[in-house]
Amino acid sequence: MKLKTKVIIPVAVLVLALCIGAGVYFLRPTPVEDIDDGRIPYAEGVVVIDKSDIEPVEYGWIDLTYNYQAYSNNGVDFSCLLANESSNRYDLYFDLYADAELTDEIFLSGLLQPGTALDKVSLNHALPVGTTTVYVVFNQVDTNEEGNQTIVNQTVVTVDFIVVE
Amino acid sequence: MNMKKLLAGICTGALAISLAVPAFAANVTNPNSTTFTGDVASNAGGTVSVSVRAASTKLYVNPYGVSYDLPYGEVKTAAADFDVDEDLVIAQGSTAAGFFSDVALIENNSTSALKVGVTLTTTEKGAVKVVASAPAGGTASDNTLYGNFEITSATLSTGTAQVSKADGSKEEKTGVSIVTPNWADTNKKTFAIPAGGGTAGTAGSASVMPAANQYTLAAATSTTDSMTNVTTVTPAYAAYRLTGTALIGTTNNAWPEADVADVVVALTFTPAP
Repeated sequence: MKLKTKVIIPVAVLVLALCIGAGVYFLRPTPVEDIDDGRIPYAEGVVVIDKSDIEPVEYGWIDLTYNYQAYSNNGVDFSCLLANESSNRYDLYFDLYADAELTDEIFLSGLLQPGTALDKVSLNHALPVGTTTVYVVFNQVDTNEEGNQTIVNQTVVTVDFIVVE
Repeated sequence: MNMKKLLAGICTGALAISLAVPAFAANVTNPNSTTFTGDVASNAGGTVSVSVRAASTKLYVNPYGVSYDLPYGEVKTAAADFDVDEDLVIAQGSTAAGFFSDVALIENNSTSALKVGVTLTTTEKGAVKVVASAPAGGTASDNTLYGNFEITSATLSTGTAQVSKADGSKEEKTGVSIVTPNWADTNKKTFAIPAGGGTAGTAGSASVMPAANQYTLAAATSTTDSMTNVTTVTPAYAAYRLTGTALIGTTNNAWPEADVADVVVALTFTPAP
């Protein structure tokens, strides 16, 4: 009896430890690279602006559809329109900066498919009350059959980000 | 000294060095173009949306670190066509040459006129200096660049042109729309390229084109055939470029390939009042 106990208890403890370890391993938060295989993730919370009858742009072009003003009450959460127009041929992401030198990044989106848009953004840090010129970089991304992604167009425009008290 | 190579490095947002192309095709043919495609209309947010069509020539930022291929903005390809303006050779061992970027096009298909402004930011690299105006006496000890952003009207015609294909190569095509910039237009607007930060890799202060100096791009016109009830929209065009002078410094009388300048060109589009 004592021998059985001496064997069963350690084995049970070992099995329990293995189960816990396996549970921890399989239930751990999945890293981003496991989700998207290192590729740019798609943005969440997009709105659909699809216009099914629109002509696609020629290769080498990008349609930039956006509101030239965005509004906020707290300096962080802005209502806006930043769209990947339905006519575009590629996914795109937005990269926003608070300076013309493109060093103070305040927002980075995931990819948007053509025909979708962001109608709100939450910035990395607050902008002051008043109007700040924000530099919006449109990045058009081509993903080939192997999943390799390439930026094929990058264009910068300004948008007035307005914070009201 | 290889003038073509040195100027190949003067890569900017729209500053892909080349001769100013006298005519180029709209839409399918000109890759360095910006087109308004949408109407300017009020929305629920109390603001106005604009639609712009564009093609880029330079990668400014890459936060995700993915590869990039901007086949329509090959600076070196354009530089191969660069032609030194021998008339600008000056005495005392210094040489100056004019430079021109690729021409970019703006097409307004909306029913509202638009104001087009620009913000320029210059970063020097190597030992080059970018200054806001011509140095006194026309010489400088350092290799020096100075010039302007120019925007003007353009006209549309039909003809034969090199068109871009999906793989980035070009082919000759007939019956394409050709846009010819009118650089002599009295309504042309110019804006000085700002000085760099004075140290390689350091951006200079951003320079914002004053509202009073912005270019007014006319609205598109539309006509409706009374018989077919089909409406035809005729866009309005503007073209822009960066142009100026590359002044070879007296100290070294040479221009290394590392002497380049990047200019971030950020366009501003607003409905004209």
